[in-house]
Amino acid sequence: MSLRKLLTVASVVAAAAAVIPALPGEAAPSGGCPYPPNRPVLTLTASPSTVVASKTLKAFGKFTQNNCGIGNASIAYQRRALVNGKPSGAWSTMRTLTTSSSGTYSTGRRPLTNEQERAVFTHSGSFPTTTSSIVTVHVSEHVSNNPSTLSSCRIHIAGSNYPAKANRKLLIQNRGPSGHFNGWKTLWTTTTGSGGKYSTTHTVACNTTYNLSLYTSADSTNTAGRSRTVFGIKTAK
Amino acid sequence: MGLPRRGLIFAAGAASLALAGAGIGVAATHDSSTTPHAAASPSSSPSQAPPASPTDTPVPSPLINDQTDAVDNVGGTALVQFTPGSHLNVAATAESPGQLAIDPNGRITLQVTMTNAAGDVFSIAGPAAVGTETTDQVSVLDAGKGLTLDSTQGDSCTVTFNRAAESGVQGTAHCATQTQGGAVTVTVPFRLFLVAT
Repeated sequence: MSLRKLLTVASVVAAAAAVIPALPGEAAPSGGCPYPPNRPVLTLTASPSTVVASKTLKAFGKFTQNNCGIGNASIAYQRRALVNGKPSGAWSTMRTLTTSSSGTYSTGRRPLTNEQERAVFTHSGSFPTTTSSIVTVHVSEHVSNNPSTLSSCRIHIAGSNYPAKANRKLLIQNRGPSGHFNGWKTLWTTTTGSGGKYSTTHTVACNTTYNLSLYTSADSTNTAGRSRTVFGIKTAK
Repeated sequence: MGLPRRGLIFAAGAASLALAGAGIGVAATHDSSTTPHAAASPSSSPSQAPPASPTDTPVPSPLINDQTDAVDNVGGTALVQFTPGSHLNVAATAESPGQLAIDPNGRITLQVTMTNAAGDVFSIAGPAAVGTETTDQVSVLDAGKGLTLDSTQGDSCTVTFNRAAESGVQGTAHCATQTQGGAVTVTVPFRLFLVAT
């Protein structure tokens, strides 16, 4: 075999090995527009950027090359914890998603703690490893608020936080009526117990209407949380 | 291999071009980076951005200040209209509400994600005041058409509010994005209202 022939065959083999690294039985991604020779782009949108624990976060994105979708691509949807506002630990893959023929992917989940997220495509077919930008997802502590009035101008509130955490200080705060908010005034405080549960009773002014919410400050893994506001709590003797 | 020599040479050349096409050039936009083990092309892979270390990425603050603001759950509906193209309806319900925050000075901040059964998404986050806002974050996913839009990743959006109060917000988001088929404008009239949860 001539040197020229050898070089030609070798280049074909090398190119094929680089272009088709997909595992046996695994379809390679397809699509994209190779010219001009720009790298593919992988986007990730996580919405909302602050989610109350137990509520759904939608994540979606697109894998494209020159605005042409790349279909059938495996996208690793990854998270990394945020502790005290700083990245902590390694990236871990939560889900592996496959892009549609137009290059999009989407998923939904309910995160519990603050985190960073990214999407990663690992070299397959003719497409290089590509990583999305990192997005931050704040998860605020969920605090339930179920007040009731008792005799002798007392208000009783019971509930819990989520993720369940003991020894969390809760501020019971009052505000003006809906449409007339001018700040919060703390009336009293309580602390969560086992399982994040709390139960508190407090004597307040008689014949007064309260609009109450509970606030808990941020801790190492969750942003601050505020319960719903319950309007029109009227006290009586 | 059944290809004649010229065929082999052409195939090799085409493969090399394809590799070069995939491997050459820096990330097209700021939202894409290459991991250190990318090594896409055996021939060349210049201008690879250095990998970001964990401390390189600034962590933004939450949009809503739960300490000072009053926060209400809001539901709502939106009509996402594509030009050229069709439209879709999305909603935020009491089971998955958005948030409307108002600070002691009366400034309103929204954070709402609306969806539908088909998996489509419209999201808006940022300040709301009567008039035009240019800093709101708007994102759209049309799952059926494979269209995504995100104002934090290069797509341009403005939001015109004609009502912004604690009791409810009404406005229209105007965005533009590029797709494989060309430019698409997206207009999204939406309405938000308080929900009891």
